[in-house]
Amino acid sequence: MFDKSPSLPAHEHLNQLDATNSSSPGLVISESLTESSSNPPNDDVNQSGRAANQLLHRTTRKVAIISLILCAFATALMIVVGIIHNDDFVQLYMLMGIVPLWALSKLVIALNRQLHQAQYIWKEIKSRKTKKTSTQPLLPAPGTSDESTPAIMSGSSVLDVPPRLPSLDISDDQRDHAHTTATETSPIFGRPRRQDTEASLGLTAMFNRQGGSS
Amino acid sequence: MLIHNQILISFFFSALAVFVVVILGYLTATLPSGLLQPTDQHALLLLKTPFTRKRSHHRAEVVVSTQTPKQRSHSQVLVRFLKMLSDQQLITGLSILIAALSSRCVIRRYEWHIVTSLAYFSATTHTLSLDVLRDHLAQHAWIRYCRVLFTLIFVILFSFVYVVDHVKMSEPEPGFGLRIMQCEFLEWKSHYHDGLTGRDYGTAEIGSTVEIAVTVVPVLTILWAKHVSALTRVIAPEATHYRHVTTTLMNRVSTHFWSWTNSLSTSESTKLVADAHLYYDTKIRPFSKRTKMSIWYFLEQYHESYLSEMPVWAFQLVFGTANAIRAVRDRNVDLLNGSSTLGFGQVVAIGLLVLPLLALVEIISGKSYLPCQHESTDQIKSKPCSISLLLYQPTNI
Repeated sequence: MFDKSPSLPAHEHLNQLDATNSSSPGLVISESLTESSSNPPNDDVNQSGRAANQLLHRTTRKVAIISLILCAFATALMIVVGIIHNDDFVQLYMLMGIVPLWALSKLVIALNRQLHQAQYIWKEIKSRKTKKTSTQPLLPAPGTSDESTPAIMSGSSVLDVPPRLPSLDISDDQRDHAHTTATETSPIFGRPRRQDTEASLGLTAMFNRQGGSS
Repeated sequence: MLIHNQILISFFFSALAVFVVVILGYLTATLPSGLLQPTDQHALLLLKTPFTRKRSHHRAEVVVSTQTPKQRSHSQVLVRFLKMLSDQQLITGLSILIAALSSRCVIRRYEWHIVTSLAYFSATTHTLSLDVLRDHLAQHAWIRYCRVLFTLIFVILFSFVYVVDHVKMSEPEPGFGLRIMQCEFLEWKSHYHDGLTGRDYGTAEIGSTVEIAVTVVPVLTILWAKHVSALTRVIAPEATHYRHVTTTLMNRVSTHFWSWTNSLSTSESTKLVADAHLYYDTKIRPFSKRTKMSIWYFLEQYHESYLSEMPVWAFQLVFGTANAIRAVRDRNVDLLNGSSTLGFGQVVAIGLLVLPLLALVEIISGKSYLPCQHESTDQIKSKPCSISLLLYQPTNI
């Protein structure tokens, strides 16, 4: 009746996430998990949603049937244990057997969940770190005097970096701020944002003034 | 005489009422909505199927996740009634324990045993009601803290009384039940002192200590586990959605762990753990009709359901009842001797135990006769408005 191994390969899981997930109603799901299921056309969504609902109902019904049987059996056993006379060590031995089993079963379930969750989190953190390190070489090191940064991967959020300012003596704070605004101008999410140019910021005039003074 | 038969019976029926109300609430799906998980809903449908012959298959396909107005109204009545019973159980339990401890120079061993049995009932029924009152306690912070504090005091006191009650229970000497408790305390104190000074603490004492531990630990483990999980559900906000407290606590620990080891912010770490939780939920769920159900999926669903609590509640009810009956039956002195007339204190105690029933009638009648807003005064006079209309009114406004 049961399969001991988890049933779905890892890459298919994210496609199964839908609004009918009743087992975890309080979760705040990040965009990375919901993104993949947000695009299909309406008919497909309705059909797949209905099919998923039916499957969920059937599974829950199956769980309910087995739960009822298990509960009836466990209740009967516990009633027998409760009725047996206190002086009889049978009750004691049964309790000594049942209570650790009961606690252990809960612990094992929680530990198994934590193990899988830890694997997922570990992979997620690792992938984030690799992403971070792969994008870092694209950002020029402070102090380099290149005239412009070549665009390697078009469409990436990090690549829309405005041309670096030549020989401008800016502070570290300003540089950090410039980096932040550059990475935040992502073309994927949200409305197209205003692209600041040197002219619109009034920096051209400043450069001219600096060039004239020096 | 500390315990009177009438008080004992009314106390027992009051505790029994909590069990009956909760089981009835479960069977009629009128427990607060957050308690019943999909497994419970389906189990209830399956239990009702033999009584509803037509469209049974069709009905089983529909998950009743929301309560009907009638059920919601009943749920409110049930919560208010249980709140009274729960308060009463907590206060009566604490009072009976304090009374027993303070009058240890007067009461005898068998009376102590009866007190323990009654306090066990109180502790059990109070835990049972804590889950049902979770929503109510979530709205009232100070009441929640007070209840948590009183519950902890009660359980600690009870654990002490229970351990004392089980010392030398396996080999009672002649006249054992008639001994004054204070004498027992003094005797143990001298034994303990001898043990500390290295005198006369042989294998018999060590054996009896182990025996006490073996006798006491399983029952106290169940009691503490139920209390800790119920209190955690009351305190921890994320436990509103998950009944499995071990998972809730472990998730919290793992949130701090990942945040600490990878220098993530707490919100980021929480989100990551929530994602992982959802990922695991999806991973273990069967994805087509042909796939077999994972045993982990079943166990998770079973432990999440309220149904899984039933065996433990059944044990506690039966164990408590059997103990209380045995304590009264096996006593060496007849309780009715010299106590055929009820004193003032005993009448007050019985009156207090009957009070929740009066309150229940008041709640029900109060609910039934509240006036509806859209009905005219004449209509209100002629007939009471339905509870469903009353419940829908705030949303219409």
